[in-house]
Amino acid sequence: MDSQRQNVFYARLVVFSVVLLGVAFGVKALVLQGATQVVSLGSAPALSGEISQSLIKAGADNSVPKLNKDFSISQANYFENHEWAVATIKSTSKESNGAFVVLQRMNGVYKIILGPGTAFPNVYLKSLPSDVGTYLYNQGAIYGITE
Amino acid sequence: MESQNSTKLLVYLILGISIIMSIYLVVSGLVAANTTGLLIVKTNSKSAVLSVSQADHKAAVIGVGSAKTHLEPGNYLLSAESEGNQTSEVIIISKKHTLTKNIKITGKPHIPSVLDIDFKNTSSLTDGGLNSTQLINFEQHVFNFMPSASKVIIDSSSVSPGAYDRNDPNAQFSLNFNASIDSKDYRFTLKLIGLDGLQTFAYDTNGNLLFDSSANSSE
Repeated sequence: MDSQRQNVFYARLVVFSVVLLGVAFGVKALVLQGATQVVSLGSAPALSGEISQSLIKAGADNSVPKLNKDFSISQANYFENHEWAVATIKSTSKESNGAFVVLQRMNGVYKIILGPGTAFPNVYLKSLPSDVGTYLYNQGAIYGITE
Repeated sequence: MESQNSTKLLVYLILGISIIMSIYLVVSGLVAANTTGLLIVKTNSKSAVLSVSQADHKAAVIGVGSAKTHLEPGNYLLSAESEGNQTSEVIIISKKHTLTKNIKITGKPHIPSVLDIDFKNTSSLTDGGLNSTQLINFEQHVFNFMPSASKVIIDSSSVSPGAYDRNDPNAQFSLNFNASIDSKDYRFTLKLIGLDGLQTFAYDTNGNLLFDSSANSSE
């Protein structure tokens, strides 16, 4: 009889443990307003995070391409007191001349304005700082009627 | 007896672990709630891959179609990619604040330019005397006048030459016409200067001058 009571007690303890865990999960979900995912970004070389975002292809494996595994940054030039940047990126899987990515700094974060691409229409020169436009032109990355 | 002791040990072990885990879950939740901000993202595409990155940090996928995640305070680049199109914007996450973003994926990253504007009935201007260079300049002037424009429709029937004084050695050939920019009506006067030059004036329907390309030129 005592043994039976003990077993019932132990069973209740186990149930209590499970319920306690369930309640704790519920409290955490409530406190985090249903969003239990907390994302913390690891450090990485300059511009690599922003550029890897531009290379994401939805429907593939939805993963973020990795620097030096899926692509490399062969060159990064800064202009206008680091307010603008032009990076040359290459695929790591095959030989290529590279593609250009033009980024502009906004609120401390570089946002991709153009690219990735190997050439851009000359009308964009009117909207880019002159030294950025000149650099792209000298790299052969501008096409169209040149005034 | 031994089996009873084993059972007792196991049960108390399970209880102990669940208590510790429960405390950890609640405490970690409270810490996260007090040290992070909440980002809620919705897009117009169910298959859009949503990601965030920061300066000198890696990028991370936070959801597909929509996302709800906590982020440490700071400035982030939020990006949504779907079917080759991508839209991104800089967002600021503040501690204990919720930021909700509705993203409409519009196209590939690009600088707004005259290429974004759809011009209709421009042949009526070339029929009226503009050459191809002047037409390109006119389109650029429209973009300078209204960078956010998406559609310009020229009223072909309204295209007419302006007054021309043959006795004035500085007289320039001009063209008047009506056009709508994103369904709003304007009156335009184009002054053809020399072989390729062009000056564009835009007026509202009351005749008020809104734009003069020579005053707004950065060329």
